[in-house]
Amino acid sequence: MLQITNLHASIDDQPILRGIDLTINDGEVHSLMGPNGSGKSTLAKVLAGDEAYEVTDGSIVLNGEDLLELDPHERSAAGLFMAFQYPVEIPGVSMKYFLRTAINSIRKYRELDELDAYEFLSLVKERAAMVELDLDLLDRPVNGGFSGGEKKRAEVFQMAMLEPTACILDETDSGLDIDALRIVADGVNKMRADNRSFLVITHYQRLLSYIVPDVVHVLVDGKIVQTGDKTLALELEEHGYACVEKNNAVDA
Amino acid sequence: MSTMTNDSTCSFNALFKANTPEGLSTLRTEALSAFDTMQWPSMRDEAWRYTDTRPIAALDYTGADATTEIELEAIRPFLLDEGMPRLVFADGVFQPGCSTAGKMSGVRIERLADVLASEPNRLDGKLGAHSDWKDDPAAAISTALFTDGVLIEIEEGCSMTEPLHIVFHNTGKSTPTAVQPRVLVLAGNRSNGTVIESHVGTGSHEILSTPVTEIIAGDHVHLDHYRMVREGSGTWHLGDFALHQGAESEVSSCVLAFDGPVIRTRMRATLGGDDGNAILHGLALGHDKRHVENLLRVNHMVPNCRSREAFKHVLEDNATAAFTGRIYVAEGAQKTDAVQTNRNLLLSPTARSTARPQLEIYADDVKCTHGATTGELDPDAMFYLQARGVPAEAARSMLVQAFAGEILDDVKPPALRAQAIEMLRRRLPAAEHLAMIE
Repeated sequence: MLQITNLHASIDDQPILRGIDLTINDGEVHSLMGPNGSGKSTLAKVLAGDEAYEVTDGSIVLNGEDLLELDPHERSAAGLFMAFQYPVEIPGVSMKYFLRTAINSIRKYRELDELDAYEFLSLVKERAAMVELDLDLLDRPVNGGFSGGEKKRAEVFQMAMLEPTACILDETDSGLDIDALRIVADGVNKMRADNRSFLVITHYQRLLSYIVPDVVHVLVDGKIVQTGDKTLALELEEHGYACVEKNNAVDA
Repeated sequence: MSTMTNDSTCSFNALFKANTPEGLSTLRTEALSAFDTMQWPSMRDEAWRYTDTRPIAALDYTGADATTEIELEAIRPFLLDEGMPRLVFADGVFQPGCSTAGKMSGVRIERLADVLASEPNRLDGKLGAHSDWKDDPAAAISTALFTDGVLIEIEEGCSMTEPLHIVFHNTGKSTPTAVQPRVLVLAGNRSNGTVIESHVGTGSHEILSTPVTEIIAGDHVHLDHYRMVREGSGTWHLGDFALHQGAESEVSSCVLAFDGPVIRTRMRATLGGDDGNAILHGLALGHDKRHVENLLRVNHMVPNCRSREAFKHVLEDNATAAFTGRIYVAEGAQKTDAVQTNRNLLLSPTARSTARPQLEIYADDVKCTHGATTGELDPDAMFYLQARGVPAEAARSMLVQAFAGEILDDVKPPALRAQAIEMLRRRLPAAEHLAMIE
């Protein structure tokens, strides 16, 4: 269970998140929607522990662990995974080498035995198939020269490899054509499980036709202004964010 | 050239007299007088702006003890494959007991001391012909004082079946010692081979090592040369490397500057035949107050040649690095294709690097590019790795390894590459978190 309470965060003394309350129970898929600049990506980065942002108030608790007390790599080991909106290219580090280091660092942290080369490669093959990822990509540098679709598929592949309990997908649909979108969504759906929760951050309803959320939240100006079921996403698609923003203004 | 007074001349003169040369007297006398004229330059001298020679200029050197003998154990950590043929020198003295290089078909491997004693004129116009010792006090003093070294002659059309490893070990038994490791490679047309030098030592004895390697490669030659520098903490390594290559040849040289307080390497490549390809690489790891300098000059004398220079420096603490690279394109050397890069990775705010690319072009249809960068680790890459569970220190090590990897990937002999990777990993914290490089 991921519990976010009264979360405030700012960058360069500029407040971005202004009191977010959000609880995702095990097995649930929540979607966070909102207009550009509402703070969606900031929330993802704050959850992952990006030091550029300062958390000024509130708490983030994953399965009883206070994430704000943990470094980014410890949050990952604690079960958090954030799929980047813009996956970083890292020349000189092969995807396979990076993943093997990552997975074994996490296993070490969890006091599990490291995977040997054979176990690792078997897992790679199985999980790559889930997102129809070309195995040749794994010998290339991390995200190096990957197409937009390949980058996002590689993110979901990494998610499948690391087996997190809380998955944050930051605009994973951006830059994807319809086929890539379906593949990525299929991968995510295969990972849905009773002990795993998802926060799917997106600007458009499109992705939610493939990854059907249990709960939809609307973020405006750093606050969740509306929460509903999957039909809320359709309403937003039809009427745009302007209406929520207006409602919010009236409420305020 | 500005000069400064120092004691070196007297001690070098004494060394010169002590090592009575057979045969080479003209070259040696000229080189000594070139040094006398130059002296150790001050930092006002352009070529020595980044290396302060005062500490070595003040020393009174002794020559090597001709009876020096070492056990294989002393150099075992520096060896590559046990089975790789090797020649070992300790303080400049040949060590038959540690050397294994025997006969390779089509390859003559001889000691310079033997050749110069028996056929004094055989190497005229070859030995000392390309190293430009007239311009450099370290190369001049080396040429004046060397007494032994290695001559490798690869016959036309022949291949060295395996790399030759030449180990120059500095014992520091009598200090301060001045040693002059020397290698001359004569590669006949259509020959190929690999020569690896290791300049090694342990301890903090005051040693001045001035190695000079000259390679004269004929047409269609394929040759790889490596110089691994793992000197002791009191050894100044002022090296010189000179290459002259013929038509359609491809010759590479790579300097791995890993250990030593001062490692300065001058490299000259002259492309003297059409369609030649010169590849000069370097990787340096600096920490504490170490200083690394690479001075390069590539001479494109004829059309249609290609040169590639890639030098990378990883600097921690108060380490400094300087790179100077001149690309010279002679009149008429059209279709020259020259690329030079120098990249510096600064891991501390007090590390410093300088790059001086210099182009001197007298032909109009050429492609010459140079690029120099200095930077820290990419914070976005650091966060990405950490967000995937890699601890910060291991992430940093991974990125440093990736930076160095672009040079190490081109180190072809597996045993040398493995040693270089091992040296690098020793410098990296949290290396146990990193998966092994395949």
